[in-house]
Amino acid sequence: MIWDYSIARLETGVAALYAAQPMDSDAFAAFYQRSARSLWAYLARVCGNPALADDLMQEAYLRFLGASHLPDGEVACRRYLFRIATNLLHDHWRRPHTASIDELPEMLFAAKDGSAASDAHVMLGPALAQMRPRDRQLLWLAYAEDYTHNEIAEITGLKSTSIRLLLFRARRKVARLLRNEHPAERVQA
Amino acid sequence: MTLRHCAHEKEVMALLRSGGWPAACDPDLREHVEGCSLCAQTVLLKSSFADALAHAKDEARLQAPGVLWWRAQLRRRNAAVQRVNRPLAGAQWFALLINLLAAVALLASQWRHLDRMTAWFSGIANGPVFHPATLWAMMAQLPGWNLMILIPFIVAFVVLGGITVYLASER
Repeated sequence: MIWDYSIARLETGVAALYAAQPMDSDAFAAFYQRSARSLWAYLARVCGNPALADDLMQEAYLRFLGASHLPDGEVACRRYLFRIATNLLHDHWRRPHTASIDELPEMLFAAKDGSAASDAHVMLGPALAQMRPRDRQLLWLAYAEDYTHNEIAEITGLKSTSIRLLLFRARRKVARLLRNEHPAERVQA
Repeated sequence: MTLRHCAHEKEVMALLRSGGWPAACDPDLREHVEGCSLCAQTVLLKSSFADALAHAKDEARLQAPGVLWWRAQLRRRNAAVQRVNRPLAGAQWFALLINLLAAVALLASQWRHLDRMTAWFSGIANGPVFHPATLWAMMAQLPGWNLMILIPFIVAFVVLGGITVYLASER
């Protein structure tokens, strides 16, 4: 009977699902403790909205756990997680109620950026708020997370050669903004 | 655009990452950084981003990992059930299609009796009261049109069609 077959298949499918867990509960808890704060910092600083960062981080971990196969090693898993988060950010920017990543007015973030206001004492906040979202992504991954050009390319889906140029421009711009805001805080030897 | 590059940049970056800047830095390298705009830029950016990262990590409000874990399990389970149920839904749509084909075939086979059927229905509608005895008598007067077959068929079609639509919509 088709029903018998279907029920048997359902049971087999669900059993296989539990057998094929890419990461068990304890391993996930440990990985989460080590990676969640960095991921939240990345999302909050790039999207400029702590509440949105909360939602995106939760969704990123759910998709991470939903993967049928995870890369080997903590570093690769972490990179994979950042890639999921980056894709979620792109999806968020592509939704109809927002403009595309390249069309977003930069000062909009400066005006509504709660995170920037909360850490006004940190000189990077106002400067980052004036950068384009993609530049913020690249700068954060390169200078806060210390990812190489190849790793950033893997996370963002851009070409490694493009990363070099985009990062060069972004770092020049943010350095100029930092120096303009804090002319006295040039590098102290 | 020319991408400028400094040979000491990696060395400076390594010191910044390890926390050795500026205390553990060689005096020659420090002197170089003072005069090199690229290395000075690297120091400025790396120290600013490290500071911002530390602040952002303090701000993070983390959920319990167990909650996320169980939500992920639930999502995986629902996806698996949906995947397994797909053939059943296909079977339901197939049953609906067969029912529709049977209805079309029946209508096509009885098309030539349509006039009589119309007259029969109008006879019932215009009659003073609907009596089974009258119906039985009328049925006997209709050659080639056996209501004993047609009515159960229509009833079965309506019931099976209803069940099929219900099962399909339930999914």
